[in-house]
Amino acid sequence: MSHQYQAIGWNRQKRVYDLVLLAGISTYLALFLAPSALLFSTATAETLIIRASGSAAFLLLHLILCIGPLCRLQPAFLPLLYNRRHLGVITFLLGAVHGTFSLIQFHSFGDKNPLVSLLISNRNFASLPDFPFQQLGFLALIILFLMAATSHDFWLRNLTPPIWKSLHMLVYFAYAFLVAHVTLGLLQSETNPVLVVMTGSGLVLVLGLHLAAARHENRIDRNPTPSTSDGSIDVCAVSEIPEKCARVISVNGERVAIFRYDGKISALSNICRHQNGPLGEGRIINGCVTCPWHGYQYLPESGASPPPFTEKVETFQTAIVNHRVFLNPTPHAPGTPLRPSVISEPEKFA
Amino acid sequence: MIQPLRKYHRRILFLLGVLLPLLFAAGLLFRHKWPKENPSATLQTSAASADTSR
Repeated sequence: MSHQYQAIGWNRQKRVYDLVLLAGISTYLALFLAPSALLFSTATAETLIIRASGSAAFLLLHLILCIGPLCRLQPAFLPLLYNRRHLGVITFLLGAVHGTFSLIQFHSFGDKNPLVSLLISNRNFASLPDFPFQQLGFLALIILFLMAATSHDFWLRNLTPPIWKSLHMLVYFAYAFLVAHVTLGLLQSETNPVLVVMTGSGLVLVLGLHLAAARHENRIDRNPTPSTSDGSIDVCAVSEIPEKCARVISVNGERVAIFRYDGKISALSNICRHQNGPLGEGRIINGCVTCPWHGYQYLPESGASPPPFTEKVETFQTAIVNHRVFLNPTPHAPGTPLRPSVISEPEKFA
Repeated sequence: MIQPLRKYHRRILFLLGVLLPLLFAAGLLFRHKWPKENPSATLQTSAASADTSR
C-alpha cells in the first residue's frame, strides 16, 4: 500500500517473488536449450530461442490464469497473486523475444518489411491446417503488451479499477489466440503426441479451475439471506464469525463483509478500492481490515484507510439481537463512520 | 460495482469454454497428413536401381 507513485514499491515479499520467478525461468530456459542443442544439432540458435521463449511464455500464461481461481478455491495460493503483475510483464517479454526471433528467422530475408511480410505472406484464412497462425500470435502479443504497459498502479488509479480490470480481462482473448497459434502452428508440423497432450491438458486445467471457482462463488451469491419485517438481514449467529475475520453475504447482487473484532461487529463493502479484491477473505491486522490481495487497509468502523491513505469503502449498519447479527442492507457513503455493534459478555462465548 | 465485471467475466469464460476445445479438436482432426515412410517402396526402389546398375 502506498500513497504516492513509485516505479515499483519494492518490499521483501516482492523481491523474494521476483527472485524465485527469475530463477525458475532461467532454470527452464537452461533445461530447454542445453538438451535441445544436443538433440537437434541442425537447428539454428534462432530456432532454439524461438522454441524456448515461446514455450516459457505459454507456460507462464497458464500459471497466471490458474492463480486467480486457485486463490478463490484455496487461500494458501494467495502469495502467488500478490505480485502477479510481474509475472504478466515477464510473459510479455518472453513473448516479445519469441516474436522478434520469429520475425528474424521467417520474415527478414525478403524484399518486404518483416512486419508487413508477417501480416500478408499467408492469407489462407479458409484452411485450418494452413491458417496464418503467426498473425494469431502477433494479436496475442499486442494484448500482452497493452496489459504490461498499463500494469502499474498509476494506470489502475487513472483508468479506475472497473475499466482497468475490463482491459486486463483481455488476457483471456490473448490465451485463446495463443491456443489457436499453437494448435494451428506447432501442432500442425510437429507430430509428437506429448505436445498434443500437454496443450490439451493446459486447456483442461485452465477451463476446469475457472469452472470450479465459478461454482464456489455461485454458492456464496445464491446463499439465501433471510430478511426480517423491517428489511434488515439475518446474517448468522455471532459465534459463527471467527475473531478478526468476516462472514461474507450477498446483498442485492453485491457482497458485504461483516467483521468480528475486539468484542465488536462492523460491516463493510467486500470490494477493495485498489483492485476490487475480496476484503471479507482478509483479516483484521493492527486494527485494520486488510485486503488479502495487496494489503490495502481500512478501519472497520468507517471503511476509510488510515491516514495518509485516502481509499474508502461503503459501510453498513449492524445490530445484534438474541446472539444473532443483523444487517441493514442500505449502504452508507464510502468512509461514513458507523457505531459498531457491541457483543455482550454472554454472546462472546455463545 | 463489481457485478457487471463478474457477468462479463462469466460470459467470456463460457464462450472460451465452448470455442477453445472445439478449435483444438478441429485443429487436430484436420491437421496435415504427412506421408509416412513406406519401407516396401524403399526396398522396391533399391531393387530397381540395383537392376539398372547391373
